[in-house]
Amino acid sequence: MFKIIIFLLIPFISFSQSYKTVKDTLLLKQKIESMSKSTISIESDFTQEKNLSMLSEKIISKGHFVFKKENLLRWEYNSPSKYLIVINKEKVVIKDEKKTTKYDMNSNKIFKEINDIMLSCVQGTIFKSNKFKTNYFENERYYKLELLPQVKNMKETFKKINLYFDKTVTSVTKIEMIEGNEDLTLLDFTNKKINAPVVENIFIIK
Amino acid sequence: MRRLLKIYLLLSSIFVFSGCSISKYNHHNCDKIVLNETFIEPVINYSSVLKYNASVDVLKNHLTGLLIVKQTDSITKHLVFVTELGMKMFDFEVKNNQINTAYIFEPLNKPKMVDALKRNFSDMFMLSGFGNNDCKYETTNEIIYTSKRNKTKHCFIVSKTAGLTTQETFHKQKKTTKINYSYNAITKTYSQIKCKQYGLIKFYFELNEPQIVQ
Repeated sequence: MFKIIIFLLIPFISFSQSYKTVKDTLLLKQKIESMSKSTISIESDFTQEKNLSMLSEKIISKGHFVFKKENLLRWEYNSPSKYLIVINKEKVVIKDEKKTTKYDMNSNKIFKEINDIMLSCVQGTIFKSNKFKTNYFENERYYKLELLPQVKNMKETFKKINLYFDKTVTSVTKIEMIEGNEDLTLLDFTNKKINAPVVENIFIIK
Repeated sequence: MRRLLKIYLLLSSIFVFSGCSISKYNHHNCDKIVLNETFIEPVINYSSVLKYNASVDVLKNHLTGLLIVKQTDSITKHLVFVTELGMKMFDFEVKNNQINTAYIFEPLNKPKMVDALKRNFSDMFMLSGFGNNDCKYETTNEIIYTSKRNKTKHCFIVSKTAGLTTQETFHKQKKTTKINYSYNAITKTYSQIKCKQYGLIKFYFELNEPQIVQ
């Protein structure tokens, strides 16, 4: 009996998961734009799941991040190891278990590239970048923006980036970064606080 | 005149120092051998995947993350470095003692950087095989193996109790790299590998606490 119920539910389950193209993309763009403008701060826990074709197991990391306009980001891993990256406008500080390293984003191409992606993904504004072509999808729970790299460097790093927004478009819910060989990084955000007060000294690392 | 004397003393001390460091491996009474994995425990085990906590200091960059080493088929190995943020920095493929770049994060893709990464990983993991002019001699506590290929000489110090402890590489008599190994006899893996490259471009690699994934 249970099997029959499951069998009968399959079409509905798969329907609810499947995505269709968004008809009014202009309206969705406006909603994201308005979300981005009205968001002054975001605070959230995250789970990062890395699937490498070379490994049968997933690499799972957990942490917490705080974003504050403009260009202030504290991205902190608590497990499996402690790792902190703080972006304070043009300065980047990385603190691992052994060392604290400071970079000037303008003189370091590696971190400039990484930080551009992080900040624009967290804010949901990455779709405005001319480095990507965007396709818009939706299902009952999410809007999905499929970002296809258009420039050589980005194409070498990612096959595509999927950005998920809840249907009320209040924030980015999850991010999928898919590499050329199908290696995948999934970021899932939970316990979000939008526009809660954030003290700026958390973005200063001495 | 005083300044010239200072420069002369500095240069001569460098010459004496570098001469000493290679000369300690120049033994005329060594046994000629064909060096292979029966003499030195290899870093990569053919049946497993190795995951190292890695830190790489390259030029002004300090990168940390996971280095995954995997034998993908009988002749191919892959070295993949992934940062904490989940971003892949490079994927090197090793086939027939040659390291090729399968992927490198674009800002790292500079010829000198790529060459140094390949050369140091090749040395650390002893990937490029050994030469054909190998030599072995013993001291009270150690066995020293030297292997020469073209103008590069690799010197391996194997402790009689702790296994491989050091590898020093010399190019045209000048020390280019020093690698320290800590061997764990229980897990049969190298629990720590530290590699320091000398010269104008400074590189430092540290690999720790490997986890074996079957």
